[in-house]
Amino acid sequence: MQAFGRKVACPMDTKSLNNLIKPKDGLVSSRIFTDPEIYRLERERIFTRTWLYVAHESEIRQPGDFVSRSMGEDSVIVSRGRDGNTRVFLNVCRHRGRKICSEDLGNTSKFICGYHGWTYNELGELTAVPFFDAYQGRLDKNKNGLHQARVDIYHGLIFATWDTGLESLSDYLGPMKWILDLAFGRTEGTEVVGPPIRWVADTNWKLGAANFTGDGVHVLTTHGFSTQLGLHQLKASGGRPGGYAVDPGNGHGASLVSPASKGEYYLGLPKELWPELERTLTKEQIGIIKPLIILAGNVFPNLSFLQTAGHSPKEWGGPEGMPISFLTLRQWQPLGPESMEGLTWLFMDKNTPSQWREYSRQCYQRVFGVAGTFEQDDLENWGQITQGLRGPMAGRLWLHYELGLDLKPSKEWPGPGTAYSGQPPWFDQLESLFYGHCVKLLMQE
Amino acid sequence: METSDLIFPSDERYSEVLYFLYREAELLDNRCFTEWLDLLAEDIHYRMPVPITRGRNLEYSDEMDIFSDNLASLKVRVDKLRTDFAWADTPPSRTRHMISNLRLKVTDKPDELQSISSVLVYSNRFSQPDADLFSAERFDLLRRVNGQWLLAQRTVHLDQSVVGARHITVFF
Repeated sequence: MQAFGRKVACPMDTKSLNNLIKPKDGLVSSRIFTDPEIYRLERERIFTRTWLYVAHESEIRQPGDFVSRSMGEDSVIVSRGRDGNTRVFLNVCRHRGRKICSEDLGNTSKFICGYHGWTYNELGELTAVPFFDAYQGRLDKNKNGLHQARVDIYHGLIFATWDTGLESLSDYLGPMKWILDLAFGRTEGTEVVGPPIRWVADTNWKLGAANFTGDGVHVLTTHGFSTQLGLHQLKASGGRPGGYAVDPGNGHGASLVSPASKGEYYLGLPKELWPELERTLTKEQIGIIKPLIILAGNVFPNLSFLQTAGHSPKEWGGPEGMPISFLTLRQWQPLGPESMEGLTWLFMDKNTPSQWREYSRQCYQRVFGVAGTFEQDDLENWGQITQGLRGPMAGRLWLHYELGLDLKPSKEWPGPGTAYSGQPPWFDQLESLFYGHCVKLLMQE
Repeated sequence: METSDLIFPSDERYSEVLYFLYREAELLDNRCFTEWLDLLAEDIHYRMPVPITRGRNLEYSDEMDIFSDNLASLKVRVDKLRTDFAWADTPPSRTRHMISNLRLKVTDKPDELQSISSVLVYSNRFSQPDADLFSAERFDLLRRVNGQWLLAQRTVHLDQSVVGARHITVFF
């Protein structure tokens, strides 16, 4: 099903990497999506050198709880220890490299390798080795615990990195924290609902990440069925929507959209939560979130999020006349230049009323995920791009990211980072910056 | 389940339900989706819970579905195919539903039967040499209304926790 292993000799030096983008012209080389050599560099220079999302704290509440996830192509275990701390281990036995955990989730204090029985606890320590005495002192258990990643947490979102020299998560996120507050830090807390929906698609991982970094324009065409069938809750009254495209730096990006008919929407959240929002967020953040119906973004490299309140309740699972909305986190895990695994989670604010919770869940399941009426067309696009760019001529093209390139930053934006405003606030800068940041990391030896 | 709850192939109802499932597959594979909707009860709940690998159990989540539809949202899915924006199914998929292993049981209601069947769905598009294959077990509730069988519930247990396809557009 997947197209792996296109062998093209392609030695990349710094100059040819730098030539993959023309930031001043808003152009990106199509090679970046299919070239196996570029993919090999991404594995090393992006996915071992950035903070990568692995799980949410609400997925591993109790000591011994764990989930299996991945950091790029490396399989990892995210574990809650008896000491309450969160740890991230390479899911590989230190003895001969067998994966020690094949389950999606569970609760255990023992990971036993099926090959020779090396056994680790939930803290990652090597606790048992068969015939240990026969090693006659040559094997040090203390030095052969599971390989551990650095871990840091923001609003319950657990990130990990292999890079011991990388800046703190807080510095890495920078102004993106202000945006993440609007989704994950606006109330007493958010939590994951159920397991992720997972699927493997024949597309390059960057297409999903860049789409959420800042592609609002695609909605009208890609998801045009919704308009054609009249399924929007908030009709395009009074002209085009407004809002901001925000560049928080470090390759992150976010879009904030409010309808032309200015009103109080709070991203379609139930009114019961509004006082909690007012208490939790800053005055500037409240000013921004009040008129919002869409918040979308991507934490570099591959963690996307979205809250959208634009869906008609009747068809998508709620009562007529009531705004319906959902918050989703999604991750695009690289599996090769032309393959990725998509994972998508539904999130809910802790104090969400139970009836609204159900409306939100139904809406999410009908529009997002591998069978979602919206997401299926996104995946079709990204698959068609990956397929279309496979040929040698297609691989020489420059692709366009110059929409809004000459815009000046907004002076009204009250938050950190650089923001651009417009009607609609959909420009290509953020995607261009995303690819620019990819190339910057690829060039670092 | 008691043996006395089972309905055997010699029973007339077994043939009726088997034909219902074949007819349904025929409508889906011939892309007669509006006619397919006519086979669904007003209160249809049509869902595919997320498969989970945990311990030695093969679980299906009761918190999250890959899809979870009622009649209104299924109508949107069908209507979408007629718009100019059904990209994931344009050009249309060549699909084949292979239905087998039908087991039928009585319920507390005389007009409702529980049906369990296996399905292998093949789906191929444009000039792709490969196809998406979905193997699943379907737990259905069938209801007789005015002499006609209607599908009132369908829970699809996919035999795969990571879906091996770009997307799912096919109905199960």
